[in-house]
Amino acid sequence: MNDLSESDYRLIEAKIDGSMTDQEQDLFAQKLKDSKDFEHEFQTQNMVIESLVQSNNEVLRKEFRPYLEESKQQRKIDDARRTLMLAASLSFLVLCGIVYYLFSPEVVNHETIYQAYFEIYPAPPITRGNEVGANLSDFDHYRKGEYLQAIETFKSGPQSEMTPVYQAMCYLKTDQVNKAIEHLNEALGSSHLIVNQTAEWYLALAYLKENKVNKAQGLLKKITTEKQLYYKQALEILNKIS
Amino acid sequence: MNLDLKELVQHLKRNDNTCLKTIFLEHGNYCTKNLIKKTNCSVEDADDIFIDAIINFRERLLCDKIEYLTNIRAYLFSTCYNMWLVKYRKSKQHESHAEDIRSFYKDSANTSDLDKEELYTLANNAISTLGDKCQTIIRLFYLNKLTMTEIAEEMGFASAGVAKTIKARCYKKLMEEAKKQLAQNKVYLS
Repeated sequence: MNDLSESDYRLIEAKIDGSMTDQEQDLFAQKLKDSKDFEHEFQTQNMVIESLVQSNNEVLRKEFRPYLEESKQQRKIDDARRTLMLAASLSFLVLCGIVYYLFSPEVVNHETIYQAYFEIYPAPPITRGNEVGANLSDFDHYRKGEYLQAIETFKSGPQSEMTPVYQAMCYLKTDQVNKAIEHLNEALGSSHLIVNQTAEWYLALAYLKENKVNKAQGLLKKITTEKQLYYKQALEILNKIS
Repeated sequence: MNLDLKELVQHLKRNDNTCLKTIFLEHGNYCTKNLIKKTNCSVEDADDIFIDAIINFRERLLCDKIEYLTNIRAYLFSTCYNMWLVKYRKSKQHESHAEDIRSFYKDSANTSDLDKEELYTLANNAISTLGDKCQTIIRLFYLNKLTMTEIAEEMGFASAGVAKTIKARCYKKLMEEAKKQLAQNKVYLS
């Protein structure tokens, strides 16, 4: 069929095995160029070995495919587990939020209490005679809610026992709490019961606004114990802040 | 993953491919998903490419072409991407999507008339006619890439030289048988 020698076959085998020396490489290239039989023999042998390798690879492909499917299944399970964990964590957080909202003690905001209970002490009504001697014309700004101007009016106008309370109202409305406290303390010295009790109530509110809770509590307890004018409101506030 | 390549090679040389399962489980989904994302290829193509990348990885390990690997995931993904590029370029050149048998044989045979499956059957028939010892030695050398020393150790031969002689004899028998099969099936190479 062909006239190849034993050494030619060995050369081809060495080429396929990848174990040729440099010298053999040159010889192989020369033989491939010169002899059709040599070339044909090499192609045949190479094809047989390559077919074996590729056939084995086909077997490996079939063997490996389930591994890949398993990896995808595993991933799906992991993803589902992760989603479940995330959902569980979120539910737990929401639950914690609900529990906290329902069972945690209400955070007392003293400013809010102040806003809820503070009502400006009304100006004396325009009638004959007036409360503890206030001059009605001095209250024009006060009635109109012009508290800065009212402060000036009260400073220069005639003073009554109630004047410090009105002045305190103006300072509270204009967020000058310390000045309001000063005037309310001044009013506390009044011998007039209404002035005194009103001053105590607003002073308690002023302390709350200033976040001086202990001082406010002390006054509020006094108001409730003595059942003063504002004792109901005082009791409510005490329940909230205690 | 701390992959012990030497241990992996030892398993593969003993024809134990289950050691590659861990690689599939740890990197299979990542590589296929990202290949689809990067190339917009189909899921089936991505799966085929990843499996081929593992076969290529196995082959390179057995041939001692990989001695050290810091990031197997990056290695496998880049192999997948390069394989996809080759496939993409082929399709761009309007070549048939069906795998061309010629690509297996590089610069050797003109086998355009031959069917891939037919050649596999022919080669497998040829090897199955050999004795057990010959079949084993051929498989160990060409498929599991064992060296002659390793074959001698594995098969209990006195030395690598003895293994080489026996392998050469078996190789010769295999080729004779393959040629017979080719003639019987009237398969001719031009």
